[in-house]
Amino acid sequence: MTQDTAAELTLPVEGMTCASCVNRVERFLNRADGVASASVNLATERASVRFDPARIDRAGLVAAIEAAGYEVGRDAAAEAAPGEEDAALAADERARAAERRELLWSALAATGIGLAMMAVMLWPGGTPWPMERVNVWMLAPATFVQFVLGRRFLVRAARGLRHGELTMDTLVSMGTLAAYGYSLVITLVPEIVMDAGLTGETYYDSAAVIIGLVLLGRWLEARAKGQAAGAVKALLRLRPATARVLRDGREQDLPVDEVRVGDLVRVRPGDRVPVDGVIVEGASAIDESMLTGESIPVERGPGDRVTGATMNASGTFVLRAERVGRDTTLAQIVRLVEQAQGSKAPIQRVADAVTGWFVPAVVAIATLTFVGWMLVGPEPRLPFALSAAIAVLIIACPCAMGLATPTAIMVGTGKGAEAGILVRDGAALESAERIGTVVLDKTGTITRGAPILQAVTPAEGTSEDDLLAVAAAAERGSEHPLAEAIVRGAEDRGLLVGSPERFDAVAGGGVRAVVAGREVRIGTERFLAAEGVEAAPLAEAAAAEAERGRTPVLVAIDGRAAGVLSLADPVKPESAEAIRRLHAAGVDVWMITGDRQAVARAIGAEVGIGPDRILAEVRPEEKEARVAELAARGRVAMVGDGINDAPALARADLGIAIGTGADVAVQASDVTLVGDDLRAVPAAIRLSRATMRTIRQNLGWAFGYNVLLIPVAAGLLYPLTGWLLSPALAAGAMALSSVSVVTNSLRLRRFRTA
Amino acid sequence: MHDHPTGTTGSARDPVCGMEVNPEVATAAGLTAEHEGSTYYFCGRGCMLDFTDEPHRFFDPGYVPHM
Repeated sequence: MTQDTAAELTLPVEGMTCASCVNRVERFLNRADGVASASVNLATERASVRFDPARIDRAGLVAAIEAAGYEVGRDAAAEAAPGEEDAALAADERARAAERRELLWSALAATGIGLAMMAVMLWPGGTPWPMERVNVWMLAPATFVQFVLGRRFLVRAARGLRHGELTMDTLVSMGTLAAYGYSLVITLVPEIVMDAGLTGETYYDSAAVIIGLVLLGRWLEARAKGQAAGAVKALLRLRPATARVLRDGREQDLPVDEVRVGDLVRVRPGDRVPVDGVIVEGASAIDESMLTGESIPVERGPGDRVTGATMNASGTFVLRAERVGRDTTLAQIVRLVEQAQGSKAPIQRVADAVTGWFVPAVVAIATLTFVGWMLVGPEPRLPFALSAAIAVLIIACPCAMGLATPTAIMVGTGKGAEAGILVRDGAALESAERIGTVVLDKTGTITRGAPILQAVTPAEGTSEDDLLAVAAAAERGSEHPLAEAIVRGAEDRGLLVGSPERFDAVAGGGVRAVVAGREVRIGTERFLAAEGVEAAPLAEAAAAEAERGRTPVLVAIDGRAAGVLSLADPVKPESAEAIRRLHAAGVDVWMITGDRQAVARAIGAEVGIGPDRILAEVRPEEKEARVAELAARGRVAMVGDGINDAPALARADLGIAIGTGADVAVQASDVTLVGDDLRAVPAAIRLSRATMRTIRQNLGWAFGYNVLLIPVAAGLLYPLTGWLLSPALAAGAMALSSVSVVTNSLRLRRFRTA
Repeated sequence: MHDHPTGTTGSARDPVCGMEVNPEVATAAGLTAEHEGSTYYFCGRGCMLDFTDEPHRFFDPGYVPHM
């Protein structure tokens, strides 16, 4: 067969379970007349065949596969149907997006209509038409804004009133209704004010602009509000859709929901473990990083427990299902995240707290004003009384208050985003300000999260370079992170790294290889002893490295102990500086890790965290409880990157996900740091303090303006100076207070995160 | 090389590839074969089919189990 007649075809093969199946299918295909070469992939269940189309066709290839005892499937990678939870979450998400869109459009429309009306009212040199006629034109758009776009305020205020509650909605409703109502009366019966010598000015524009601006504030809030459902969605995505169950003498792919306790389930390389269980056959390296944050796959063999949603990295094994459905570790983490998110206090805006007494006070003052003018005011009493009472309500209308918080949060979070600090919502900023304790996860947060070669200790009679070059060549065949670290370490030292003639990874912690004719063994002390190597000469060096918090790997060449390579996950260069800055900001810094005490202490010493502030050997499921203990004593921020951190992140007063973290950690957190520089943590806390300070100033301004001008609006100064604030001036003052609030928020742009 | 099959507890050896096999797993997956009154357990379908094609080959004293 010549090259130019070669054809290639990929066929889906069904029913393969193990490497022996791969061999058999390849053998049968290769034996078929006309096949140049065939290679079969177990994981993808595909056979790639190169053949001479003149001598064999697709049917012939299918026949060969069937002769081997397997079937050729239809090539339709059946897409797993999304689970019920996913569908519900998607619907929820869509509903919220629709709500946000509606808010934005309402806000823009109301503000636009309001500003247009204002432009007509403030026409230079006075409106070219009589006020009475302009008022009639404005009635329709003003009514639309008041009762259609601003409907939510009226509905909520009415609902609150029924429960005897006065809220922001009450103030907005009363102020705008008063302005609208007064304007309506003037529009319909202009004689009332004309006869009193007042102009026929109306306040439709004020009402519309107030509604527009408050709606805009609500939209900003809604947009910033966290996507709590997203965290759960990311977790559920980790769950595989199907499991390969061995039942009734058949191996079948079943939806993961149909797996029962006691079922035997086969897990192949590259699969996610579908449920929690115990291995009954086979062994593999399993990547549990989404659960523990540790990036090094762990060896698991018969009798060992494996957790659903972890990733099977290398071998095939069979597990007996122990916990399925709602009982799996993953399902529990999902519930923890949900609970922790639900248990959080709702955003307690300072403004809302004050509204409790502010609203009734304003209502009382407006009533008093009206009564006062009616009793002792000059004639005509009714228009004066009405105008003064409305001025009080309008000047007290919380437009600036509505802007005080969202504008500062927008500028603050925007500034943070520039520096890679993503803040989820206003509540997160608020709690970041009062953080007194920061708990740092070790792996991936303080450290880089991947091991590197730290030291090479050759035995007597072996040179350092030879030891490292041989070990690196032996490990070339492995994809284990420790092996990669050894190879990279050798290459960084400029050594020429060859390839092994033979390579065998032994489950349970070792490598057998032949490099340039030399027998190489790499692994733990126990592994070397089992291989018949006298490891005692290396024991002392290995123990010393372990004591320093490193992972010693022993090497034997040709049956003789050759040396120790020591590996460790290095501290990020910025970590010590970040912790120093946190201390300088008066924050108590703790470290939490599942790693050994010795490792934790060594790293603590390097970055400046004392042994009394280290929580080591904490199992993943305990992390949340330990954080809760600390949170009982003060406000705690948790910084982490793994899924195992998700419940702790959600439990902490402030969860900060850092760098390369898992999607779910990001979703469960209040603050996400895009880079992996730990110095962003002190920067985030400083930024939140600056933002909250701005919010307080804003509220001070907003309230101050209102509180100072209310007596003027009520006409207290009238007897002395003849000053009386017309509703139009009241609206102007209100606009001015809004401007000062926005300007103050914009000052945050000068904040430096570095 | 003539590992005799054991009961459904403990482990058995796949006569084709030499791997340790859990008989319970093999039974559940249908990876067993009867030969001259004994039950043999396999790691996978490939081994089982190889065995049922020509069982005698695997009882040859010279046969070295491999994949």
